[in-house]
Amino acid sequence: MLPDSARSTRARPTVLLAVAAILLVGRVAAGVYEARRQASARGLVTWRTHGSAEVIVADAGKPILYDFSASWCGPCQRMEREVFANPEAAALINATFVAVRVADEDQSAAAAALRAHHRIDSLPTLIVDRGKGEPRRMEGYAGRRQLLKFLKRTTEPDPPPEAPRSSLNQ
Amino acid sequence: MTFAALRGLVVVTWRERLLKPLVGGLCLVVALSQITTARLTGELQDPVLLLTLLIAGGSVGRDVTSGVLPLLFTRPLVRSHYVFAKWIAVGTAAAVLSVVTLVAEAVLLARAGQGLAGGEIVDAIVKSMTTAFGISSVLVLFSVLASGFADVLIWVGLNTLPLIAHKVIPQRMAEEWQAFLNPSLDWAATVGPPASLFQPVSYLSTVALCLALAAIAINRKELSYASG
Repeated sequence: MLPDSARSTRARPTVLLAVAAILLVGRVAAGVYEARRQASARGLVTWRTHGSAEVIVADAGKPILYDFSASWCGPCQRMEREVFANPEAAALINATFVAVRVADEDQSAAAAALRAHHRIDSLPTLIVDRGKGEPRRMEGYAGRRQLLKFLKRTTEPDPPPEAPRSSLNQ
Repeated sequence: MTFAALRGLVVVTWRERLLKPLVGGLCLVVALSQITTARLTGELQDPVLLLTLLIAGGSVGRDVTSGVLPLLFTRPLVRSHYVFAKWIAVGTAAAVLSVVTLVAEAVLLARAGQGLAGGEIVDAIVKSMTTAFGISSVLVLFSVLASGFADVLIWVGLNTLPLIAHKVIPQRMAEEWQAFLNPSLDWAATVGPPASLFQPVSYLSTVALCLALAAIAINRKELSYASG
């Protein structure tokens, strides 16, 4: 490398510009490739309509996984790509839950009632309703690992209720 | 630029940023509050966003308003190297402080019997480090274009734009916009399965583009003692 005094202080960062240009082209190419791959991976999770879910849950004995999301919501679409289009995650969801998607675009009375019942005020929100006890919820999307951890936790039994404090003191 | 000159610029920036009582104190408050939240929730809380904004905000703009930059450029210093040194300095400071906070959280959780899986901790550390260097590159670009701490205001304003105009801006474009302003790498999603090439290429592309644009902008900047 030339000493600073021997070159212009406003030297153009040619290598950096070339790397930035190559990466920009690579970004577009990788984006197009992965969009095509994801399109073929759609449908890995078997989504039910909310009207039919209760019937199925009674048969299967599985908890219901509600996905409150929207097509305009960026984190919802990231979750779709990284979790629901992932074969391993989709297999876990299909085996463990009855998956029900409630899209923001669905303005039916049943969808509105579900949103009100589960007090949905942000997207995405995942609710696991096991039919007994308080439904478990996860608001926002913090990455695939966090989401899978949440789903696995929901399948564990509730911790036993704490003994009354007065009896412990005696 | 010699290694000694680069190191000198980096060390001066660290001193200038971290030894300011206000910035240092706020960084400490952010780190401690995240550690407390982690202890209460049992989950790792990443302080990287606030720490990066505190440390990287005004990295170049402050040098312009304080009159340091015209003085510095009287020396035979390649301007793009100055930008690169600023990015290295603020990126490493934010990354190191964030990682130290995350490790402290992990240790405290483990001692409380809420130990996390090793993979989860590695994911959090990789994401934190890449976010620190990613957002720093964006802020350095804005800081070359605007004086003082205006870079942080521009960053916040541009981040809120898709939220305000989500009915007008196509969803995919809004996602790319957010990814450009907040470059980070989700290690679990990158290694898959299926492995994602888009994630690392997109991240590196944003960082390289921001640094290249910052270098071009600073080369075109005319400075005087009245610049600020």
